Amino acid sequence: MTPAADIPLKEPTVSAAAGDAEQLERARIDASTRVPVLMFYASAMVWLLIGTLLAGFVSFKLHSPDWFSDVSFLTWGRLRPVHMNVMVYGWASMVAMGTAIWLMARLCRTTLRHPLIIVTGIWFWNIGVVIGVIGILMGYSTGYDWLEFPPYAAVVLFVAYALIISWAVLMFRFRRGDQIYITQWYLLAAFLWFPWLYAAAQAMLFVVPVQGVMQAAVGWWYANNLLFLWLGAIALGTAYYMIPKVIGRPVYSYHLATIGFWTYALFSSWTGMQRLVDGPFPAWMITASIAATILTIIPVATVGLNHHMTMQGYFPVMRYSPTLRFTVFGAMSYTVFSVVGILISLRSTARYLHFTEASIAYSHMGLYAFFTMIMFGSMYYIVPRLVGREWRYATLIKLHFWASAYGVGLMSLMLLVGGLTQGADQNDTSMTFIESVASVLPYVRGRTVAALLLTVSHFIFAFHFGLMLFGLGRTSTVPTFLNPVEAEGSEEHL
Amino acid sequence: MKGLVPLFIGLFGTFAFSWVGLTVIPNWQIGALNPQTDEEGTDAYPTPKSGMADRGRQIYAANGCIYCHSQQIRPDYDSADIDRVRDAGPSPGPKWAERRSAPRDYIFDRPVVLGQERMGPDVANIGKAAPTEEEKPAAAPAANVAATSPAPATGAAGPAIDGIMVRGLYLYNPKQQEIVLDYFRNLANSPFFTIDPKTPERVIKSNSVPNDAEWAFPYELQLTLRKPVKLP
Repeated sequence: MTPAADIPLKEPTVSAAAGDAEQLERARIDASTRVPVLMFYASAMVWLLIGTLLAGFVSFKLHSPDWFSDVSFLTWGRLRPVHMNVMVYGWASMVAMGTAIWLMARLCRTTLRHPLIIVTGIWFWNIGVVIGVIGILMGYSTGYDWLEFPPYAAVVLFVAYALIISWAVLMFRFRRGDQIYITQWYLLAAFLWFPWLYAAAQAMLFVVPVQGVMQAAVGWWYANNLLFLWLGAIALGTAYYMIPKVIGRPVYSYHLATIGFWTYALFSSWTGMQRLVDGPFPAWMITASIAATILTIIPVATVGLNHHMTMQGYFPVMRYSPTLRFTVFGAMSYTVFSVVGILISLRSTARYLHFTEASIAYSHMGLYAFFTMIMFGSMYYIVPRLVGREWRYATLIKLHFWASAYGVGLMSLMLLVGGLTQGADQNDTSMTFIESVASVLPYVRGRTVAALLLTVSHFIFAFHFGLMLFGLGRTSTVPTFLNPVEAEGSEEHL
Repeated sequence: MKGLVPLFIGLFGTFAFSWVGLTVIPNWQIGALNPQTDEEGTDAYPTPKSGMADRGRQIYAANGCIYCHSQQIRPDYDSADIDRVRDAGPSPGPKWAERRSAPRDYIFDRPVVLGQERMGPDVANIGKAAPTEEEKPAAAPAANVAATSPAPATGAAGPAIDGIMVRGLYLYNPKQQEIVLDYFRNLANSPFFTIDPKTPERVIKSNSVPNDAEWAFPYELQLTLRKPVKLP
């Protein structure tokens, strides 16, 4: 460790009473990331609320299709891709970049240089998403899943990304200390993979378009890798930081972490084609992806074991710490999501689940139960350090957690069971096709209930976040605990 | 982990492996297919679709039909797709398909709309189910939608004709061709149709190039009405 004497201290931003140099240094680093990270979070929150309202709309319209169907931009077929893209590019990517930049500054132990350039990048990113959304609503969707934004919106997103990430990488250049922590591997990987992935998909679909069914292969290769290598990698990196940090204990094993990281990079990047099972493709492509999906059990087991052994004996802390509760929920969901992914990729189950709502369940388990919950956890940790206030109401955090957990649980259950019914009926030729659609309708209605729960959860969180943003949090030196801590001396703060 | 160079080589290598393996190599294998013909070089399959079909595809993509309808038939050992009979349409109900889909079926499709979910039936061969469908304007509601279907009604305005499509054969006879082309020019210049002079190939489209061996070749003419005519 660098001797404390080396730290160039100019105008400490916390009171000198806070104590030792390391804390002052951290406060200085946090202060340098304050504006861009809060902007990322604020933008992401706005997109989350828009995406949530759209989700409710889309879910409701699926069983009541004639609602507003006379207005072209309010039809189900246009709102669904808007919901999807707002969530992926507006909410998920922005919150991921916010958290990643904060983590990068902390772990490189260096201040964020030129935050204004990142701020410009954030504006560009928001503009790109707005352009894309308007494009889809006006009927210029490209028709490729996860890539519905018209190509000109992608250009704006790309410029924004270059502005944002080059400065995150610059931080890495000015890092102090030799050790590169596990979280940094995941973040660097995501920073490197995303532009390659996005550029390759855009080039192969719009610049020099590939022929026929190869478009679908490129599309699913992109979608799966966006989920695993961009959003998933940042979420796993965040979990590797938050869990040891909150319980104050080092990660159980670096070796396990190394195995988990490289097998994750190798195997999950080869998945995707299983979504095209039985389609017009050479069988080896689909089989390779199914094999890779099965092999993802290795990173799942090693990462899961590592987190579990780190948490061993500290599980009761989840009773108190909001960050830990959300993060551990997300980390556990990573295991569940991957196991479900393996089960539905097998040819013998895929024949019942292909072309059903089960694929929607799978996407939501990855994007919500795993990724989004970890991001919520990181926001509960990071925001107080940026605004200098603590979360105001423990009750609201608890409500947020339970509404989210029950919401995503109900949604996954409804869509998986509904998908199984739908698929079994589709393969039964004694039933007409429309009967297979009718059999999934009750489950789709159940999903609308789940969407309502998630809407409640997100509005509660947005309100709480708004309080923090406008300086209405608690002034305290003790973080907000979910339940009163029976330890000596902290009770009076709650 | 020690050293940045191995880390970056590893990150680069794993992703390059996936990119080459799942997109570049398959693209060599199935990315440059040509239409298939019989021994004499005739009866090509598939042939490029008409301009009307392209427009239909754009409408299909822009309005998100793909999220409920697939356009691919799975093999019979894994599904009932081939055995399935359409719910609506002429009676007895036509089958969904005769065989599973193959990569060559899609070589002229852009964007390709294979689909990932079936809240509605597969539409890979919908044209066969309703042979007159092709001559109908793209925006008219499909006649063979089940009454309880979750598909939204296509507008309150009701069915309307927004254009006509003429199909036929050019004869390989210069004089006759001149007469046919003259007739088309008159049609295109009439005040009732919208013709973009910059893209004449979208209006008059021949499906094959004439040669000395052939005595005729097919054409398609697509004319969009300036003002759609409501059906009674």
